[in-house]
Amino acid sequence: MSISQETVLSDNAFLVSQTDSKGNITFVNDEFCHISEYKIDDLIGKPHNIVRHSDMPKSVFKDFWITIKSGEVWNGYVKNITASGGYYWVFATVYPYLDKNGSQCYLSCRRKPTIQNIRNAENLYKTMD
Amino acid sequence: MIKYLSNITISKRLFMSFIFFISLFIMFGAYSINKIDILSEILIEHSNHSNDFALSIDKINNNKDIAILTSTFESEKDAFDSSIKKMHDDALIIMISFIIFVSVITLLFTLVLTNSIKNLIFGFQNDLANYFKNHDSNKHIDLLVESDNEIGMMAKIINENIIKSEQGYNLDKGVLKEIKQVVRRANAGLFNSSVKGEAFSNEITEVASDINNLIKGTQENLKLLSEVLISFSNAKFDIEVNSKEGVTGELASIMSGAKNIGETLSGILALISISTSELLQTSKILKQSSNLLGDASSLQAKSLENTTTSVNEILDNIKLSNKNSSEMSKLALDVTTSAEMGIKLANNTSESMDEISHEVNSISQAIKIIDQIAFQTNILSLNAAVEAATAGEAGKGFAVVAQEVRNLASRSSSAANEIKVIVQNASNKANKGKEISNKMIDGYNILNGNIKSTIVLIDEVAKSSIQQEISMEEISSTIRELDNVTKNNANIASEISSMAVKSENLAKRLETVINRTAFFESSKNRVCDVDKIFDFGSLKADHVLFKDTNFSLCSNGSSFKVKGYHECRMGQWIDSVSDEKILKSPTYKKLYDAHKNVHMMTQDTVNLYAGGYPNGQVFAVTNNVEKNLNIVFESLDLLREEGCKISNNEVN
Repeated sequence: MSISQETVLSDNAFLVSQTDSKGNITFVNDEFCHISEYKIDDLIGKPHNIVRHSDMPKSVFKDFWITIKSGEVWNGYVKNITASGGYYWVFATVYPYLDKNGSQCYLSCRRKPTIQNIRNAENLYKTMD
Repeated sequence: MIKYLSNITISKRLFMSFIFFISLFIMFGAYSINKIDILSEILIEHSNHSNDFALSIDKINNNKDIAILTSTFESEKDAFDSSIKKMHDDALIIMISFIIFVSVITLLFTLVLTNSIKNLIFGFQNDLANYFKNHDSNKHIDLLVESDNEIGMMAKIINENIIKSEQGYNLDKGVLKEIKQVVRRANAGLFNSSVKGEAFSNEITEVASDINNLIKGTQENLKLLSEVLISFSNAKFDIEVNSKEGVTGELASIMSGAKNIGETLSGILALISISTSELLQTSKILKQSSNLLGDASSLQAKSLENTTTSVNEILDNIKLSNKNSSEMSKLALDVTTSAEMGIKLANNTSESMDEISHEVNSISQAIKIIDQIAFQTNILSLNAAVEAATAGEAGKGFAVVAQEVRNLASRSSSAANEIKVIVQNASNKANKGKEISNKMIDGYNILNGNIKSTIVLIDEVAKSSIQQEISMEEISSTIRELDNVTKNNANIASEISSMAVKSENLAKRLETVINRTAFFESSKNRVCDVDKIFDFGSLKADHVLFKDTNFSLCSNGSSFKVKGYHECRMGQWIDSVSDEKILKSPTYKKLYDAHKNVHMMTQDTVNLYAGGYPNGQVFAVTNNVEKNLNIVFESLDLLREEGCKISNNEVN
């Protein structure tokens, strides 16, 4: 798979991952592994930015962390990188919650964004740092 | 009663076999120790050689005398290897023969041991089976402990444990009974009890604690709801419905349903309140106006009465003037007749004057003749005087007569002249008379013309009067109608007035009713659009239903697609907004995002359920569905308020 190869999500795609308060992956579902081209063991315990694409502006993640650390849900269009250097776009919702032991967790659900939304996000992110 | 085959304990049997094995091991051990001694000697020697070898290496490093050292080392190594190999072969043979021997002996003993232990265990098994058989019928039975071997000991421990687990079982049974009671009460609607007993098993303790939490949580939520409903029954609709943190699904729907009822009713009450104030004001104005109308109608009726009187007077006058004008017409006709008579008489006069003139002319002619006669008589007298004078004295007498005749002639002539003058006068007078009578005729003619004009005028006046009379009659009847209408108006005004009083009273009663209720004052700011109270209420209900339906369809292993956020009625309304003012409003953006979230997060819930994810993760999402649903509701209310502000500004 070449660098510029895009993986397009299926219409009903549902990629789930979960991190601890520091952003280390504690759970991923099979679909996440399949799309990101990693094995589950390669992801668990790793920081979630393993799938962060360099095209994503830093300010987006700054906003992301400020939002979820304040206990609010974060929504946004995200370009992620695959293990082989390809990329895929998702519309992500990150839910902060406390697990039964009272530890902070961040659950992220991702779905297929529309092409128009990807274009809009691309254009917006180009103007951001 | 368990009859054991022998009282020899298992440990004793095991001990005997142990002794046998130990002696075998000692025999083998003695032989092996001998061999191991040899082996250790060789190893110590080898170790010394190794030390030498280490020293030799040092020497190599120091002296570089490699050739000599290498040959020494190799010869020592060969001797060592051959002795090791021999040792190894001997040990292998001893070991194999020993293993075969031990195996056969072990097999024999195992058979004997197994048989006796089997018998012991069989008895024990019977006892246990008996215990469990009786245990099912809740009858306490101890294992019969007869022997003091291990099985007997085990039976003792089991007996102790049976007592312990029976106590635990009874504890658990008690707690389960309590759970059953508490759950049945809760099922009947009594949430005041909880499971207090402590169970023996951790699982039952956990279940009891979960049931207590469920009942406590449900009770708290129902209490909240009950408070809301009580407040509603007291017509207090301004109660804030704050459901407990983390409540989701149908319970959250009931709470948001109660909240929506409060808000919708507040909206309706606010509308009624505003309308009542307006109605009160309007009915006051209506009352005042109808009173004014009543007064005005009475005044009008009075004026109309006066007008009727005046009109009747005018009518009488018109009738009189009609009569007068017909008399005038008659008189004018008389005048005409008189004037015509006058013309006739004047004509007659003129004719008479002509005749007089004619007669005077005849007199003049006659006087001329008399004058001529007098003249001739004078001449004749003169002739007679001349003759008389001629005749002298004889003629003296004659002369006197002739003189007399001459005098007469002269007197006749002067008389004729006088008559001439008189006749001339008479003729003049007659001419004048004629002139006058002509003038009189002209005058009469003019008079006649004037009278004719007058008659025409009088006719016209008479006709107009008649017209006027008809009109006045019409006016009179109109006034009568007007009078009726006015009287009717006055009646209606008084009816309106009493109705206004009634509606004022009604409004006051409504006001009293409204004052006895309590509703969100802020609702007044968003009731300008009545349709929106109901339309937005219905959109809210749609989404409570949307959530409930999809949540109830959620199940492990079955994923389905929920309605997209553009497909529902609210989504279509959101997309259809074209008013720039609304589109630019931050509330609209908030509504847009929260509504999208409700759909997205409901889909996440369905997917998480389908994937069998744990409760913690499912709740993380469902709590946010509720949160966003509340934001949707709040934004809709705010949008209504903002819409009212915009339309008020436009009106103002």
